[in-house]
Order: sequence, then structure tokens, then C-alpha cells
Amino acid sequence: MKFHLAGKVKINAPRDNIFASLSNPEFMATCIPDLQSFSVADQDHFSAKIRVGIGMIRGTIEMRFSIEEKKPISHARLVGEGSGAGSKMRIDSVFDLLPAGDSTEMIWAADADLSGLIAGIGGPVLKGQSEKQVNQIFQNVRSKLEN
Amino acid sequence: MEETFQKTVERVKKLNLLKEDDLKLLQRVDAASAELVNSEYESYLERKFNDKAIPLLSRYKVMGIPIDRRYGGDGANSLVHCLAMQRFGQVGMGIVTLVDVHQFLGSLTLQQWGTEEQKQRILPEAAEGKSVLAYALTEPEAGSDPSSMASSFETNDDAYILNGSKYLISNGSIAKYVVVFARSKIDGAISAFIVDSKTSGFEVAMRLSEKLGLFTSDTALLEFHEMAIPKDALLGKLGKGLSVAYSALLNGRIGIASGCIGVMEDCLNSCVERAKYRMQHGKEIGKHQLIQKHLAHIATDLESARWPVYLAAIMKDELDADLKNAELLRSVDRQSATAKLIASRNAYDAADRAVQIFGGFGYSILSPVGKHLVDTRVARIYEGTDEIMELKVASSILGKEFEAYK
Repeated sequence: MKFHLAGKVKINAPRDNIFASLSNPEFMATCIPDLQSFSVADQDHFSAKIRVGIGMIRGTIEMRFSIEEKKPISHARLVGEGSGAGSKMRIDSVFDLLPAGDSTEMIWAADADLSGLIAGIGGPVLKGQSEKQVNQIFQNVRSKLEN
Repeated sequence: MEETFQKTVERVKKLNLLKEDDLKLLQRVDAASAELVNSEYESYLERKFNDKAIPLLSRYKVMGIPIDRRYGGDGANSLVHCLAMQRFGQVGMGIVTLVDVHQFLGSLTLQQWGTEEQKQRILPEAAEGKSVLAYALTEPEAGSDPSSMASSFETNDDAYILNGSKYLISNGSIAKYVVVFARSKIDGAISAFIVDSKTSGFEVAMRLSEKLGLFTSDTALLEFHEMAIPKDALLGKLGKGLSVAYSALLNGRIGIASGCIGVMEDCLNSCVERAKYRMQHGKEIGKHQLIQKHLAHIATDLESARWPVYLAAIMKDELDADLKNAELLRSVDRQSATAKLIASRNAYDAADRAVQIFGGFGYSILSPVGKHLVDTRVARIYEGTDEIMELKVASSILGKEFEAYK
């Protein structure tokens, strides 16, 4: 099952700071909600064990991420693949950072491909839940970079 | 806009039945519905009332869809209201129940039968979502036959004194105002009242959570103990409460039927998505003929329900412009019953077929189509059971003297 997500977020921080942070696995690890464990293979590859779920129904998935197409300080692509909780998923996302005065506008888009148990939940709910998760990550990014 | 909903709106627009303001309203309804999906689903999983729904609907300014603009609403006609309910139905019958009771059974009833003072006092709050309305007709011993109700009232110099209980009241524990029906202790005639839930003697005796589904909607048992309400709480004429009750149910049935159209659309969308990615026996399940049979059933049942529902809404708009036309009232009553009967049955069947297409996962609590199955079953019961709808349709064909439910 496939779906597409996209959005933009304004962050009150300079582009170079944001780019450096977003391409730093250790920083990103601090922004992922319900992260259970995390390991860095090299500066462009890392893996994470994340508790995911909705309400009281929860499971754990292990994801491997790679940062690709790095174009400092404006663009990067993050690809994640993993499995767990009877499901498999692949997420292919791109980020573009645009100057917006003293701030930066981040435009992002992601394509998700899910199979197994989680895919049964279906488009509208999964999309809504994913948007909620992404918003939580960006809120964490903002609060760390803007303070 | 959600794709299915957009197609419907465009189709109705081509018939010149929508104005620019209607389109703006439907866009707000669509945006609210898209945002409601999360909280509705999470509340369902936790088996609890969705307390985020009313603030969200208020934020999108969709709590007063049918309320006249003079009182702060959108003043939408029945067809536009029906389309809005259809979109809410895609999210689920929990939202449909909340909105149907607040708007069709509550606000519209007050708008049709209330005094100017009652309307000015209550409807602006209702349109803003600051007050939620409920409708209390059913009793533990009076369901399909409301004329057998036991709740009673007496009159003194400056108040009506109500005693009794009302059962399975949607929005019952969250409502600020409740349309209540009770029988005179003097002559037995039933009257309608608009009651402030803060009145002394008004008690939410129980929040009813032991339901098969519809967990996200509030349901309560209400009790009235020597509840004194002012004389200006009377709704409509003294002793003519059943006219108020039946006109409210006529409206409400169109709302429920519209919600059921949305349920079918969401079931069909979910099944199409599933049929295209789920592989079994080496191919997508959508390539198996028996899955296609289920899809064809859902799609044809959807279309066979859609237009009777729209027709009921269009006829209701005609009636609103000609309220004293008794023949038209009978026709609209029949069409409203026909629409609800077809739509609620078809929606339940669509949800059942959707669960079948989803297989084992369909039976999981996590399954949104499973949610539709348990939530939609009640649409064949509340606001008139299937059986009462059939009897209404039959007696409208045979004549009043053949009314079998009296």
C-alpha cells in the first residue's frame, strides 16, 4: 500500500544549521518520538528501533536509514526501510531548505510503501497518523534548533 | 477535497444545485473531516467518547450548517446538509450521530418549532458549538412507540414540573439543551420542551458505554426528578409534542441516511485500495472474481442508495418552502423513510462485505472497516427501525387506515 505525504515548515534558524542538524544521525535520533535504540554505521547510515502504534495498540519496528543526494545546504534525501509488528515499510523522503528572511522554510515530501499488518489500516487513517508523527518530529526539530 | 467527495460535489454542482457559499461550506466540512480521522480512530481504539470532535467542528465553523444565518449559522438547505453529512459519514457514524442529533434533531427542531426568544437565545450558541443539543424521546419502555412514553409533566403557576427517564440519548451527557418529550398528567397529551441541562432535577444517570459500537459518540440515560422548567420552555403547542417529534425524526432520518452514504464510500475506497495491493494466490486479490463480486455489490448498493437520499433532501427543501402542504409532507416522510431504510441496510452490508474482503485483518480492532461494521449497525435501529420504516412506506401506499404501527 502506497501513499504520499508532503508539507512545509518554517524554522527560525539559519539554513546551514538546519542542514547540518538534519544530516546528523545523532541529532535526528533525539527528535524521533518513542525511540528505543539507535546505532550509527557511518555519517550517512544509521538504524533505529522505534515503538510505533496508535492509542494502546503498539509494536516495535527496526528501520535502517540512509542519507542520499546530499546537496549542502539546500537538499537531502532520506530513505528508510524496515520491518516489525507484522509489517514492512519503505519511506523515501526529500527535504529542500529555502531561505526565508532570518528563517528557513523546509519543504518536504515522502512516499511510503507499506505491506503486512499495518497496511490493512488503510489510506485515510494511516496518512493521518503518519502526518501526526511527522509533525511531532518537526516540532522536536524546531524546538531544539530555535532554542 | 477527498477524491470521492469532490466527484460527488462536482456532479451535484453540474445540476445547478450548489451555490458558491455552499461550496465554501463543503470545503470546510471536508477539511474538518480529514482532520477528524485521527481522533475518531484513536478514540475508537480506546473505546471512548471523542472529546476532540466538538472543538474541531467548532473551529471549522461547521456546527451550525442548517441554522439560519440570522442566528449565526450557514443557512444551508437540506441537500447541502446531506452532502456534508455524507462527508462526515466517511469518517464514521460516531461523528454522524453527534452532528445529526445536534443539527437535525436539535437545531432544526428548535428552528422550526421554537419561539423567536428561544431561537435567539439558543441557536447562536449552537451554531458556534458553544452549546450542544440533544433529543430525548426514547424511554426504557418506549422505543418504536413513543406514544407509550411514561415521562410526565404537571403545571403550576409559573413552571412545568417534569418527572421520568430517557434512554439511549445521543449527546445526552454533553448537551447544554435537550429537546424533551413528556405526557400531561391531566389529559395524557404529549408536549415538547427545550430544557437547560443545568436545571435542578436534571440528572445524567448513566453514560452508556456498554454498546456494540459507536463508542466515540456520547450516549446517556437521563432522569428528571421534580424538574421545574419555565413556561417559556414549551416547544410548539401544548399537547402537540408528537408533531414536533415526528418532524424532527423526518429530518434526522435524512441525516442518518446521508451519513450511511459516506460509510459506503469509505468502505468502497478502502476495499479498492486493499484489492490492488493485497496479493494472494500469486496475484492481487482484486483479480479474483469473488472479490470483484463484493466490490460490485458495494458499488451498486452505494449508487442505489445515493439518489433516494438526495431526492429526500431535495423534497425536504420543497417542503420547507411549503410547510402547510400536508400531501407533500406525507411524500417527504415516505421518501425520508425509504432513504434511511435503503441507505442504512446497504451501509451495513457494505461494511460486512468490506470486512470479508479484508479477511482476518478486517476482524481486528485495528480495522477501519471493522469500525464501520460495528458503528453502522445502529443506523438500522435508531431514529426509526428498519421495521418501522417498512411499515411507514407500506401505510403510505395503502392509506392512513392501514397504519400497522399504531
